Amino acid sequence: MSHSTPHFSHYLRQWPEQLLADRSLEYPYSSAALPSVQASAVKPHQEPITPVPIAKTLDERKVALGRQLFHDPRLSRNNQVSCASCHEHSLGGADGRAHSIGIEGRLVAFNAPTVWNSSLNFRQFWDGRSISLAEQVDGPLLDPLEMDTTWPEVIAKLRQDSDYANAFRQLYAEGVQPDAVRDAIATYEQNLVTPNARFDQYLKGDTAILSAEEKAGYERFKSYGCVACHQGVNVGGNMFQRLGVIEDFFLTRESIEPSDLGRMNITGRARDRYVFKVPGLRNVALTAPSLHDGSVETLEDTVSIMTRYQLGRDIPSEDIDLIVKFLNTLTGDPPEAA
Amino acid sequence: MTKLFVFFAKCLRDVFRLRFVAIVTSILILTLLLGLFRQTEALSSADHYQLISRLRTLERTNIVVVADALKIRLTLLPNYDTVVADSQAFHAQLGDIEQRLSPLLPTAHGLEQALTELKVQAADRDILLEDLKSENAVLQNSVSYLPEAVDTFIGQLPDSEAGYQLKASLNRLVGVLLRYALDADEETALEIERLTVQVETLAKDLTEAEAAAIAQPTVENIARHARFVLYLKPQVAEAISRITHAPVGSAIEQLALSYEAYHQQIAQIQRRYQRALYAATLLLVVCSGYFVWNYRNSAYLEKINVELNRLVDKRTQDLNCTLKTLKLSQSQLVQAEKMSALGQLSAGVAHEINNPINFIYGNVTASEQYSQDCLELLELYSEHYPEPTEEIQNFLEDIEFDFLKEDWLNLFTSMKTGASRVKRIVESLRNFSRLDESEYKTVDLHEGIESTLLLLNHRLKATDTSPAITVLKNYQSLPDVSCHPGAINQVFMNILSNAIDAFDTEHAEPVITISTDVVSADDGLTQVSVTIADNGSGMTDAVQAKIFDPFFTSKPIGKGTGLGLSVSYQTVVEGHGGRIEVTSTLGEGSAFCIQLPVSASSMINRPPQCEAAA
Repeated sequence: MSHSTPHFSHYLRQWPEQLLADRSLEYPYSSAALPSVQASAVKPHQEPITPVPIAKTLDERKVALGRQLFHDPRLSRNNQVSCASCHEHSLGGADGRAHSIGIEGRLVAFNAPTVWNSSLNFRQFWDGRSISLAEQVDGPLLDPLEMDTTWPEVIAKLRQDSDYANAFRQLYAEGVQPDAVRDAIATYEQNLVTPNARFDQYLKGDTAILSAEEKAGYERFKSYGCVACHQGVNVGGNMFQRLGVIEDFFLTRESIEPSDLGRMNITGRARDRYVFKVPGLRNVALTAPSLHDGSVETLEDTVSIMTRYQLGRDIPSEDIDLIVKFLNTLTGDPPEAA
Repeated sequence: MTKLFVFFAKCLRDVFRLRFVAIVTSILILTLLLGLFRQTEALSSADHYQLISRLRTLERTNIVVVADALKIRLTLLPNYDTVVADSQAFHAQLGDIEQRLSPLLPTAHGLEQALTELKVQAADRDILLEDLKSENAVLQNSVSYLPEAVDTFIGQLPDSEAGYQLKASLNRLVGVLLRYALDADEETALEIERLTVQVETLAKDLTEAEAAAIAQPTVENIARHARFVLYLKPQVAEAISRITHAPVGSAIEQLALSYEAYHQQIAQIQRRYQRALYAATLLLVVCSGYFVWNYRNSAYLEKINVELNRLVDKRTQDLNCTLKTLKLSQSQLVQAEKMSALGQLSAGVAHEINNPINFIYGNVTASEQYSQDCLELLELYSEHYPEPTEEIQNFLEDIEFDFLKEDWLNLFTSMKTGASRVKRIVESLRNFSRLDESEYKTVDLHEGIESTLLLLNHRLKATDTSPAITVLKNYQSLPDVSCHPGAINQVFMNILSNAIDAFDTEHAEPVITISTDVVSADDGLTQVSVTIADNGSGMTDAVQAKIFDPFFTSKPIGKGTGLGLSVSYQTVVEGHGGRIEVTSTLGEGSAFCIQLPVSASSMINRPPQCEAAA
């Protein structure tokens, strides 16, 4: 700590009331917020995984506008690809493919992550280059392989639609502008959380809801150390880690794609080679295949690969099954009907 | 308040008339005041204190983030969500501060530098934090796995010497590793390396059968994990160290200091502007005060000036009046002297002439009687002696006795007429210059006019060069007027004299018309009017205006004194309370109208009135 900075408690004494009242800048789980900690009968503040909170109250009109935009293929150059093309509701918010298909059938480098609970991730994209959902909108929109359009194009098309023009005018002071479109889509995505998974109910105190095997699976998950990276409210999604910690995962590959280099593409550091954002495991039963390149089809294979390359262990297949059973309990209520 | 405003407006108006520079200066001062005032408002106090409090909050959040990092190391956190949240809060607060500072940055370079430094340090710390999270997860996994792995492995070892040694080495390794996991140092690291190598070597000593009996984990696994701990622990320790020693806190402090310094600067400038504002206001007040004082002085001076002018005008007016009075008095005095001399002269002449005239008249009457007697005697003789001798008859024819008889009596008549005429003239003269009679008498004005005409008779007669002047009389029945007869006669004399003088020699038919009438005046008193008109040369309007002024004359020097009409005016207007008016047309003639009240009014002996100054 800086030698000239006073002790932490000094600030506690010095604070005027209004500073305490200023919650506008706080992330809901921040310890900077005094003093509350979520209380639970199962002592969830000691569990590494916490239940998905109910979506906070959002402006319904913005959510509706965002929903419309999310499903609107006009956001692509040829008016055929929308956000929902790769993040489909019926496919758990993903597209069930190893590599997504973009505009005109072009193959995208990555396996589309689910849009469900994406608001609980600390970064977006596999390489974590976007810090917010709003920022993420630019990625697929401007990518030649995905939607291959430009903002002026999109804005022009949206302005021609009187419904959009009216809605934007009502909700945003600037009208139909890129920032407003980003905000609307991000607001909609914040609405797409999946609470009430069986495991969440277990965490909240319903101990009977899980079977003994599922509970055992959770214990294995913790004891083997999976939980070191797949923790937090989204069972992952809040840190970076190398794919191939103990062993080189890509050693047997014939060729290394640029997408395999992970965060090194962003930071340029050698130590970030093969480093990706740890994906969240909620609804993982619905979002096969796994990994950034969708190279693993089943959960069992994924667990097996993870234990070998990330944990450096060889675990019995019974334990793999138990863990898979546990993973299936992470499926929550699908967000909204559409 | 409006009075004051009007007053000031008048001040400014006068100032504007007099000093253009002053008005420009005051406009400039006002603009300056306005500018200064706006400058003093530039930096809002509320914004400043908000910014200070946000910086304090940022400092606190920074400490929380660093504390989180330590908690990670001490495994006090169940997951990384709080670290992520606190880090995000830090960045959000930093972004807010950046937004608040951005309008100030163009003018404060130190501030911009401090802010950039802070952002760089924060970004570096972020990377460190991520590295910490990643590495720590693996380290924790390895550290927690190793004892268990070693136990399982040892459990499967045979009870051979090799097995025992391997067991011992492994136990030691685990012990050292756990110690190392808590507190990494060079020595322990070497020890671990040594032990690991030892373990590997010992494992090779196991027989193949023994090795085959051991299921997972293998020595490779254990060795690998041991090396991981060996490698990761310093990494993690370094990450923690760098996070805790990251100059983010001092960068925040630096930013706060820069901002404080900048604010002090601004506040100082603001204070300077405020002082300038006060000074300018004071200057403006003093200037205004000076102008007001000046204006008041000049207003006072003007007032005095006006007052002085008024006094001077009044004095001039008084002096003019006095001058007029003096002139009139002078004219009156002269006239009086003249009249007195004239009167004395005429009285003397009248008296001297009167005596001889009287005995001439008496002797003529006696001679007439004697001559009538002689003629009667001669008649007796011619009756008694009807045959005169030749001598007598010749003598009678020589002397033209018949004619002589007629003419002799005519002569006496004519002598008597002449004498009586002289008597009348003397009478008129005395009548005319009745200076001894200064009290008012009720006289018939017609008598006065006649006397005057008689005195002017010689001038009315025809001469070689000019025809006779006809006098037309248009008399109405007039009551007797109470007046100063001598003075009134003098008036008639003056006017008639002027009328006669108005005819030049070429005038074909000079006529003077005298009309009298009774008029009723405005104030109820009966007045008589005497109008003397002539068809002479007339007067211009300019001459008409000045005709009653003393010493004004249109006659050549020596011929007229210019006193006649002025005295007449005085006599009629002030002496008798009457009016005298003139109407004249150039080339056609003039008419003088005198109005006199019948009875003496209170207007007698009034001192001369000066007309009010125009």
